Amino acid sequence: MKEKFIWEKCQNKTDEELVLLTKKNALYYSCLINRYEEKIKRYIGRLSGAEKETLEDITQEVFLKAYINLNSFNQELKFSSWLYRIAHNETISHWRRNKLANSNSVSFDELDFLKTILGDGKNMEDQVYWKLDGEQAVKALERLDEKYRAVLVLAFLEDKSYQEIAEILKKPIGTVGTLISRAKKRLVEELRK
Amino acid sequence: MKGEISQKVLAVIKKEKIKMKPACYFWLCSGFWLILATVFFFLSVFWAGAFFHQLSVLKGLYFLDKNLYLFFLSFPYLPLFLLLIFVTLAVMAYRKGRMVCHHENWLLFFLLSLAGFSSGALWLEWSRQSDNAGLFFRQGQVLKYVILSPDQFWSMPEKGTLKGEFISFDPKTEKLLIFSSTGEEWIVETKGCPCSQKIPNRKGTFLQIFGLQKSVKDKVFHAQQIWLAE
Repeated sequence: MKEKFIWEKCQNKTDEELVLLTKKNALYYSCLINRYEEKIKRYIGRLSGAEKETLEDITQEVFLKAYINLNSFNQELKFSSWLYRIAHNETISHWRRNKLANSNSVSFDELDFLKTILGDGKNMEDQVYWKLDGEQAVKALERLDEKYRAVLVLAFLEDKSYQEIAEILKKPIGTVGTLISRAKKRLVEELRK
Repeated sequence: MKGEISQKVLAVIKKEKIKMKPACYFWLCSGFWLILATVFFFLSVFWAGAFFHQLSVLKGLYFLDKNLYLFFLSFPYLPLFLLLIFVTLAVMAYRKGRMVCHHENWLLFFLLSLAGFSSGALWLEWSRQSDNAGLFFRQGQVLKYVILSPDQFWSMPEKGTLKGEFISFDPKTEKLLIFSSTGEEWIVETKGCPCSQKIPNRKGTFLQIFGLQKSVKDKVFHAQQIWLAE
């Protein structure tokens, strides 16, 4: 009952307003979790290729960490970028700790996005684009360094702007542009193998 | 299922009585790492000073052009190594603070570094005025123990370096007489050396000479460059 009331109350609130409300009442945090649960889970999945159970564990850990550190959130920045940043760090450290198997990190219905990545550059060789085969593309993406994979996932699958990627990865905007361009080149190279 | 995670997270928060870290924790945490980064940064500046001081005392840049062997011998490896170590530690401390405390504090880091520089400069000036010692003198003292000392470096006639106390100069023969730091009298020929301006008038002045050893037995050295010893 109480949760339903909270849920209704937070429908029209911005993330930043919800952060302020959460500081007073932890129940409001459920609104933020519900708002980002799927996105964060999907991002972690794309980055790590973790299986469902591990994915849920990491997501839960991310939200707990975010709650504990909520007072460090800078209201001038976007909450989503801050949360993605925590998710990114948590995934990387989890991945390093457990050496997750990177299988199924990209689902086959996301192949269109991969084609978008490759087709985005006009100077990309068309033959690579047209010969793109599902399994091959997934494996190519998996073989990329984590930094390249992260920028590609954020830019093309999560639809984040350069500014947001810069905030998430704590890199200057110029570096983000360079990373994306290099990542695309690497992906093409991997596809050629 | 949507909402499942929020329920789980809220349950954990309630069950384990998890509290948010207070805002002051992040300021203190951030301050700690920033101060640590600034200390390392300041130490790196100190060693950068030591590096350039050593390079200048041993005329490293001159030897880079004239004598590669002496350049590599005079190169301040240890100060450079320590400089790199401290720069790395400063960067690591800054990044660690950023990671652990979730704070971006470039401005604070800049202000702290500026304060560190200013206090360092004031201290240098104060020690210069009070006991004529100063930072570089102390660096020299430290360097003596950790790197080839300038006295040793300038006492290798066979390699082309000679240091000693000026005794006299004969303008006719263009030869000067010095009493080396190893306690020997050396005749230094200056013919063809663009160093006539550097020859002192006062006895007892210390000179550093770069050139060629002509005779070990007669202790004759041919100068190619002369500096007043630092």
